[in-house]
Amino acid sequence: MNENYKGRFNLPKLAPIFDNLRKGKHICPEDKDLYYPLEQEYEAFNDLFNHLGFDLVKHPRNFYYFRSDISFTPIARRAAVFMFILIEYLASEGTSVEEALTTGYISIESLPHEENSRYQRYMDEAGITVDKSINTLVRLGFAEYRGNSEFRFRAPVYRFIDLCLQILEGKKYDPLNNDDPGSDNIDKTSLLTGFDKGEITDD
Amino acid sequence: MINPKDFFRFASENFDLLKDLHVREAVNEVELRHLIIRHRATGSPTVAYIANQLTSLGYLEEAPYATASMELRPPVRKFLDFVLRQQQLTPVAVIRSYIEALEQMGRDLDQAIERKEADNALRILSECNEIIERMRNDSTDNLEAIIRQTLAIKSNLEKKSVRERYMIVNRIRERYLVPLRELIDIKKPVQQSIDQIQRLFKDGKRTFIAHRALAEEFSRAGSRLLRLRKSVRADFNDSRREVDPLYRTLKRENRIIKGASRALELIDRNGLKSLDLDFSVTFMRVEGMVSDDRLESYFQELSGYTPSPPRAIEEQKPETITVDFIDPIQLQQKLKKILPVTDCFEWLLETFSGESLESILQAYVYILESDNYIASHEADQKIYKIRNYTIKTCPMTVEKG
Repeated sequence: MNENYKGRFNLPKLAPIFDNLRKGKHICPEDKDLYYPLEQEYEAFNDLFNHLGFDLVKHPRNFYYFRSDISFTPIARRAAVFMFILIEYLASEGTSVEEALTTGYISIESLPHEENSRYQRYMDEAGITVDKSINTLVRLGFAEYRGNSEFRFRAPVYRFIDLCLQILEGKKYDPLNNDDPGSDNIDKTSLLTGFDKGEITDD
Repeated sequence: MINPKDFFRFASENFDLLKDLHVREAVNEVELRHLIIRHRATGSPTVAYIANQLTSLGYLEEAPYATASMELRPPVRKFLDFVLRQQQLTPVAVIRSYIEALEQMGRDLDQAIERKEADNALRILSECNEIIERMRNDSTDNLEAIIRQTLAIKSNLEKKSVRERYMIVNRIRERYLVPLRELIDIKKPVQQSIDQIQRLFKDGKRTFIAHRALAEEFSRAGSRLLRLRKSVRADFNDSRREVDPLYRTLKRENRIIKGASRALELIDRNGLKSLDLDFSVTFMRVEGMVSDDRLESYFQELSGYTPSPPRAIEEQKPETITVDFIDPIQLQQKLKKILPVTDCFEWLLETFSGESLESILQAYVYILESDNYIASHEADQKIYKIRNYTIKTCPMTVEKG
């Protein structure tokens, strides 16, 4: 190969980064060895992957993944069903969903997926079990095990949160174009028009 | 007539009892007796005496909706709200009534100033002061109540659902913060009314300048109004700082949960495959990876690399080449030597006897269509034999063209 392009694309950890991304893994700051080269050389990685036909996405929550043209593949569908059930269950328990998903550990034993008949029906339709689902989520970088009985979610879990918002809006929800991904803008159709324009001052 | 010292002494000695009564809407005789016994210290007066004091000092009165039931009197409840920091939110209607009262007082005061009625002006001014102070207190109470309620929502000890909490916060915003804003927004009519009253206070001071006490009273009222404005503004901004982040968080939570429930509902109704969502997870096997050719061509394009000439395709020459046609050059050379030919087909059969019938016919057509020769046919047909075929045609004469 020519030395010029060899030098330009001699990107750190290129092989393992590409290998992980192509397998659907989401790379976040916890993956230090893989994340920091991506963070520092994002433009070069993005350029390279883009010319090779891959769409490298940098999520506002600071994680990277490859976006595919094919939406809602069976693997994505199965992971999503598991998450929809979990979110509904957490809400019914009066727990703050976003907080529960982004902080703390979840006991596998406490999961309702195979305890509630309605949830079991969804699991059956998706052809998944709790163990298989968590394994998939871990493999794709959405979650991480602690021992055999607990797991926790990593930053890429925000993709499922985005997905829920997308469903509700009935259109494509694009977190990349959302000004404040952590909190949506105040409802502009509210009766409180102009309510959020700032504090009232003495002027 | 209630003796204030007795009132506060009783409150001091029986504060835990009052706190218990404060959390209850009303108590019947039996419940009241139990409460008094629970909080009565050794050496205290009898239960009957304490019960009697509660009524005679104005703490309790009969509840209007139940016989033999007692409830705290509203001023006492409000006082305990203040002491226990359990202030209630002031309803919109109350705030509006304050404004209406102020507007009416403003009209009355205007008349009194115009007519220079000092006594009347002093009375109206006193009423204005009371309304202004009530508004200020209610505004502060609102802030306290909002802080208390937002803390309760944040801690969520009652395990209320996100939706319930969202509804509460939304209600606080719409029912209490919006009216509060009306009080301080300079574009709102309420502000114009308050501005008008402020001007009246200044006019009054000027009109009654000779009446020193009254002029000072107008000046003090102006200061109260100014304090009200500052206080309401500060309370409003503090309330917003409490409520807005919580509102945004709960609104977002509510939407996330609704989205998940909607998805499950769709699966219930139409099956999993009906969900068509923009959510992809790339999973590419090794054999699906980009080819080395594509990778290399991209690298070469980027670096300005000039590719070397393509490698020649290696060919294997067969030992002998068989060409299944009569070479036109050879045909023309032979034909040229013997022109004119009276029977061209006969000549072809003799000259190229080793060739196939297809080759002979191709050569025949070539001569016929060539501009180098003039061909003409005889009238009678002739039969030619070549291997297993019989050809019938009119003999063709060929001359030089």
